[in-house]
Amino acid sequence: MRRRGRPVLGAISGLILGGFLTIDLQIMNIWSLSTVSEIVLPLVGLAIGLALGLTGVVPRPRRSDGDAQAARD
Amino acid sequence: MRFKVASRFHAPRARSPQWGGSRRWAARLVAVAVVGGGSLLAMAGPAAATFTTNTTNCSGSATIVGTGSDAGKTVSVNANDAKVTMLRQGKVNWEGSVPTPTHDNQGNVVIHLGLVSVTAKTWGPSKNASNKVSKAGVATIPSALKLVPPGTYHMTGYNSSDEGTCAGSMDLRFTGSILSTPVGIVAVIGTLLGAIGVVFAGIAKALP
Repeated sequence: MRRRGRPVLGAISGLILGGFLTIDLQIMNIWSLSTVSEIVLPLVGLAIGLALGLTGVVPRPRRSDGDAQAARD
Repeated sequence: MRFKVASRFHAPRARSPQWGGSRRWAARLVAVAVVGGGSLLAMAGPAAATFTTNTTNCSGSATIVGTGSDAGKTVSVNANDAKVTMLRQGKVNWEGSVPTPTHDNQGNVVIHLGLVSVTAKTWGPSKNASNKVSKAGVATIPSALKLVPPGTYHMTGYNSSDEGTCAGSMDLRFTGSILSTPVGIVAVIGTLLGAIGVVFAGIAKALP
């Protein structure tokens, strides 16, 4: 598969996102801290980040005309 | 049998062989639970929904009187309770009892934090040569509890003796804003950074 985004960054960021999200949910009393929650969310985050990194499906932010002109200059 | 662990909380000075019985142990559990992080009341009562084992018919309870930021608040906890809303600062008046004396008591109280389990208190073996069947005391909630993030934490505890075992569990709930503790603040920042990283990783690289 052709790498279009940043899969390594995505995987690491997803892992971090899932880990901290687990703590957030625990604090907000939405999902109690458990062995399952500690494993599942980080893995889900890792998978999502990896998938996004491999596919690069997030649209690039458009530059304004002024920025584009400045870049050309 | 009755187990009263009325807890006022202090961890039972518990290791004295003179505790007496399961009640005391129950009380200890309650106290420890509160003190140790919220602690546990895991003691027993046959009919108690939160008792997993109670062959000694132990019982216990505790009253937490808030101080500092929790001044004016009072929380009553019984060993049969499945959930308790904890205070972060205060004194715990605990009490525990058993119908008949138990001997060679030992046990612990453990707080489960996902993959990590923290032992809040252990005791014994205690012979209880004086055949006491009840015990009470006062404990101070550890200052570290002020740093515990809001949320619900599961606690378990047990006391085993020659005469039987008293074990149970309880959920400790700490209220507050997600940003009220350092851990909560770090968690929010970490979540935002992680989300930004995931989104940025998904942006296609510019072709050369």
